[in-house]
Amino acid sequence: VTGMSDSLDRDIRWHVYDSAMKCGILPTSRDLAERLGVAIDDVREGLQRLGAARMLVLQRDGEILMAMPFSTVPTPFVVETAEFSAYGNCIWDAMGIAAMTHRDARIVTSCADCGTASEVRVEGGEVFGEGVVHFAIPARDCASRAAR
Amino acid sequence: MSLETTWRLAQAWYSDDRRPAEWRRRTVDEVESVFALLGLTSEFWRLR
Repeated sequence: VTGMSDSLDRDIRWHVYDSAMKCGILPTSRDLAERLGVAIDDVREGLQRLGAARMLVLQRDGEILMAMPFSTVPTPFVVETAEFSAYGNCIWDAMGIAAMTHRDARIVTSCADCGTASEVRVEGGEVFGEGVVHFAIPARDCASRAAR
Repeated sequence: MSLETTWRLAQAWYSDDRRPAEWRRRTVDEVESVFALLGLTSEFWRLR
């Protein structure tokens, strides 16, 4: 049974990231069940296992909240590429979407300090923009709670 | 942190394709190596 669940979990992860990288969208458990041809309850159990393994972060209802660097829900870090728009969980992750998909990107955000609109562009493997990035949580504390 | 360093961190962290079955999360040692390569060696970036 463990082998079967391992295989399902790998398939789920593949489809989650495939959807994210191609469309910028994290699939629902229903999307995954249809795509994989398995029961939705099996998918939901798989998502729970992937959440427990810190591969994903789940919403309270068991749907995917984050598959790093992508977010299901709107965030202040909008990533626009030629093919899709997506939400990053933070500026690190917003740039991570450009890095993971090897795409140029325009990141639309705002200064967390003063609220001024801010734009960061990734073009040809280089980053352009103004400002500094502030990390609020020490890495040790972040590592103990995040699913990076 | 500068945008340039954040971009290098994003590249180091996220350039891997996470779809293949072989992909796994980094160990603490591997994370520390990534941080060290980017000069992130202050107490803030320590993991243990």
